[in-house]
Amino acid sequence: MIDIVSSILTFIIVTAASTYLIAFAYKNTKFILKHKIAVKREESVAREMSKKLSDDKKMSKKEKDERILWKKNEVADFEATTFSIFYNNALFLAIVIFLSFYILKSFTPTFNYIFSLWISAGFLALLSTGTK
Amino acid sequence: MSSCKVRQISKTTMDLKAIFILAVTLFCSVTCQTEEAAAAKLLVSKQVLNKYLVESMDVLVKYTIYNIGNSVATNVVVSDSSFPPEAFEIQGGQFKFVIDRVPPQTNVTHVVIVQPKSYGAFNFSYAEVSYKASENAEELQVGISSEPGEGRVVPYYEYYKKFSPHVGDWAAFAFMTLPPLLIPFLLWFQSKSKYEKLAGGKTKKNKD
Repeated sequence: MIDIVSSILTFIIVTAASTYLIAFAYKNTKFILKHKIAVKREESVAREMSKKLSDDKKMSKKEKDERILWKKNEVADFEATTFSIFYNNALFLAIVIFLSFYILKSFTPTFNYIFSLWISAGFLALLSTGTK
Repeated sequence: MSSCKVRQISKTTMDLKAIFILAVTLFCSVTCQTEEAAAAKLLVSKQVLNKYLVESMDVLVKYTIYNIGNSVATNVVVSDSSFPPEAFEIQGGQFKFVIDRVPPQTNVTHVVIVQPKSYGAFNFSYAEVSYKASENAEELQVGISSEPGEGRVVPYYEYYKKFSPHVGDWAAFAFMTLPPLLIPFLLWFQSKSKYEKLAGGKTKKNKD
């Protein structure tokens, strides 16, 4: 059992470091995903937008294209962000559980906590930079 | 010649003496053995059956009485005063029990269930037994049981932490980890299915 009061500093340091690493992983994964999703959604977003803008006869073609591009960017950004958060969270939880219950089972609770969180967060950060 | 005779006689008397002594010894040992064999002799073992001794959880103490003699033991009284009432609470059985007869070559067992009131080291010492070695015996035979020895009673929370299924802990964990997984997944899935539907509709139309 870890005493919260006496090991508050450990909690803060470990949590801050792993938060930074996970945020880094979110950002990288999102960046990779965004381009892939943008390509995938291009057609459907264009269809949706042209349907919406078909009533507006005054709008020039250029502006319509710009709006489609903007919407496409928005959709890709949204999907990439949500999927990146989901993917990294799920992976992080799975690795933390695996590490703390199997690999670092014999460690004391404090070291188990420190290593399982840092290794998992570090692995996510590494994974997010590796795949391109 | 005469001296030779005397020597012979003395030799025979010596032989007779030896035979007599031997006979007496044999007789004595036989009678002693039969006397001993006729008496009951009890072996009492006291065992703590639990692997873990836990504060406010049942501890099983088993007394086994075995009569190795050839006679019946009567008025067998086993009393165990090694469990102080301030440290243990009886859940079942008795610390002092009477068995009227224990036949030869027979086992009798008695189990007492106690609950330790607190944790820490505890020395499980012996129980006392008194009995009559045969049906007509006047004197009481007194003996003690085996000692289970020192045991450590662990605090309940320590035992719980180690052996409980942690259902509550896992439920709390799930309650905390589900939102960060479910919320982004549902948002992504909503958007994905919306645009895939749009794309799917188009491909269908193209096919038509």
